[in-house]
Amino acid sequence: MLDKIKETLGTPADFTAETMDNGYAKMQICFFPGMCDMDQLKDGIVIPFSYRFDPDEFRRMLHTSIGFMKDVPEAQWVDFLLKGYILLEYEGEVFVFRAIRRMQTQPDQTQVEASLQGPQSAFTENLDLNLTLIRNLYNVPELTVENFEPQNQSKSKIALLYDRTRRNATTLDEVRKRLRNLDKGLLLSAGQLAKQLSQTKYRLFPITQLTERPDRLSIHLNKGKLAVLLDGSRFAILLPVHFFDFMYAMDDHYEPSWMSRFLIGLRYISMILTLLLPALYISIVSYNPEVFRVQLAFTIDGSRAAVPYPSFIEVLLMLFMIEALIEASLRLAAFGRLDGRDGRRSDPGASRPAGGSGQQHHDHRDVRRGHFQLRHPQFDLQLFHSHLEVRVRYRSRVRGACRRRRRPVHARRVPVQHA
Amino acid sequence: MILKKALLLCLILTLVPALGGCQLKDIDKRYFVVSAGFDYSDNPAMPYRVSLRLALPSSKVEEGGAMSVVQTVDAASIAEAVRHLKSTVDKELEFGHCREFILGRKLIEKDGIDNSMQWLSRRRDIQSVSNVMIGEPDAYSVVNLKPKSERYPGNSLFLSFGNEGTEAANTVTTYLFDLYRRLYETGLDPVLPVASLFGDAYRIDRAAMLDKQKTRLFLDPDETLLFNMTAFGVDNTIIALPDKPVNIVLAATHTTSKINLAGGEDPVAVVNIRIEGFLEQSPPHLLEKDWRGLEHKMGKRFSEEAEKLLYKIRDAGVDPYGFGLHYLADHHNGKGRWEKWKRLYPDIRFDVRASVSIQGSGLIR
Repeated sequence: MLDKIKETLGTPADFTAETMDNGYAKMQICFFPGMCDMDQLKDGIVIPFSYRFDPDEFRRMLHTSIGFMKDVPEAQWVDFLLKGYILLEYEGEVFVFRAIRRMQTQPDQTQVEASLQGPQSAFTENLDLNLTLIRNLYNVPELTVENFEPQNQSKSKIALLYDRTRRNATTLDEVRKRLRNLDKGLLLSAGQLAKQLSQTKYRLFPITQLTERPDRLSIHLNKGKLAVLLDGSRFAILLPVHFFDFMYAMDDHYEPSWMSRFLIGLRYISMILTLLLPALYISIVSYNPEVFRVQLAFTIDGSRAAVPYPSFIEVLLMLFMIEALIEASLRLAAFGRLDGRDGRRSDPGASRPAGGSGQQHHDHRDVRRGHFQLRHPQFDLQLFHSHLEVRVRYRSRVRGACRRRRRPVHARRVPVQHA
Repeated sequence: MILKKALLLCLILTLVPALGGCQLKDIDKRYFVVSAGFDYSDNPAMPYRVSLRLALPSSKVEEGGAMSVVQTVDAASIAEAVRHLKSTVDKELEFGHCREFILGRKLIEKDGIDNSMQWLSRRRDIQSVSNVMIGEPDAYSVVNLKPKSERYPGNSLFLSFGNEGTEAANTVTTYLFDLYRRLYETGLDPVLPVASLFGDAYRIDRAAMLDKQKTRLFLDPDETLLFNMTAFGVDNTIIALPDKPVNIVLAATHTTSKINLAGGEDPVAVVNIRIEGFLEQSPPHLLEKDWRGLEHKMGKRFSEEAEKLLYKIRDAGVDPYGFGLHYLADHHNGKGRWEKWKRLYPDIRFDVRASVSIQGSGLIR
């Protein structure tokens, strides 16, 4: 057995292949120590084989324990090894022992979709743990899990979840078909999988949503939607979703009715402001200044006098700067997060060792200064800040997968204490 | 497919330039006119003198920080004067924030109001909610005054009207749309406030009654107050009853007035007015003696004074209350009805029925 495996694997340094001999019997064993749980190896194989050795009991254990699989086709031996299984040959038979090392045993804290009153646990990068989280929240016999093992280079397990009584059969078939026909390259994250599932490259409106919250996933399952989990990714894919799902925070479900109605309204108004404000600014400043109150008109007039460019170029520059800032605050994690309200860095952890990053730091600040030179003292500074805030918030929903270090804006709201 | 995309691209490229719209003019390239005055210049060739107060904006708004310049030009018409004025300033004139139009007293007496109204109502950038007033002695002096209390140019005059700033009971507020209506409506005549200077401030406590063309009657401040109460039911006014040693003064907090025409061929205009308020000034323990009697006495005095005013307005031949409109609305509008009203109006009788209700003395005992 060992020879055959070495043919396929070569002799990687992190691979162990031994023949064990306890004086009575011999056993060939091979595994990747880094991927295996050494405690399980010790309890499940080494102890029964060495100082508690009883040939009959050991044989019975190999044949009956659910930890061991036998009659595994030769072609799949290496696949199992690469997933962290232990391969052993005893008395001419080959067994596969499941001793995968689990990185996570605790649910994560929510990082992207924080909630005030909802559950604080989030998905982890371990599929089994994620399934546990979902089963705990959505504890009905109708919850169905289908496993897919894509034949790509990563071979990460994919689980498709749905409620058997509520799902739409056509959608389910379509998703199954797409999951079977994934492309053969590396599949590293749920976002990538979502992209492949939606299939259209230049789609403006997403049909999938990423979430780290088991409760959001449960609600969607309960509505008859499907969920796809990828081993190694702490985000689940919900599909199919529509526009309003992105505008929905889990707290809307948990808070008192009027509170959540108000917040939903606030969110939509902010979104409309985000979409319209730059254009409104241009149209009012350059075409119909009588729409402003006279105080505002004079103030903007006075402050605009120093701006050398027409209003639309000013706005384009400002929008570009805001986008650049958002991007910079996301990618250059070392410099902390740009606080949405006043543009100051709010992360004291930014004081990292100097070096190459010092120059970048400087650049970042320059971008910011450039932005604020273009502002007006009273009016549009606040409006554009709210614009910035809303954008950050909306995008963090849409493209949540990218924003692991960012605390979303609504988490900063002061928690309401209920007696 | 490629052809389709190319066609779409062409379409987009042709449509996008149209999105530029018309007349992009940034706010800093505009001169905001904050008040405009029209005068008569005594030059028959160029009778109109137009004075515009232009705001010099600053990003700081502070008391007394309002800066403005006044530009004046004479021309044969208002439109020509404004065009001509453009060549004397460096930015485009913007009337969007001009809420005060001042017509010189002489202009109305010599030329009438119609020519100015034509220009005001035709310009699309002039707001219908602007205040129109008569400037005394002329519009230029009112436009040119720069009160120290102004936070931004033109604010002071604007706040004098309506209930925006001060709620003065002697100030008649006439908006442009209302003036337009009163000018062209049969049986309803315009009334304009008269603004003059009072040291470093404006004094707007009189009203001018116009027929469809010219001023016919100027009211003094007391009459203006009465007119305001009877015609518009303006709140926060006072009624004084002469008494010794001090006058009894009622601060009216709520006033409603309603006009009815009674009597067919010998019409009587009945003005029902209800006034509620507190005694702001009176001898002690006056109310306990005769509450109803005092109310009655005040109502009687108010009725007498109001009737005196109504007869004065009638004799001037103007109808700012709209009795004529009322008559036309009440009666079948056959041929010759309006002519008949014009015959009837000089002899119409008035009956003001004032009901004063004193809520208290304002004191707590």
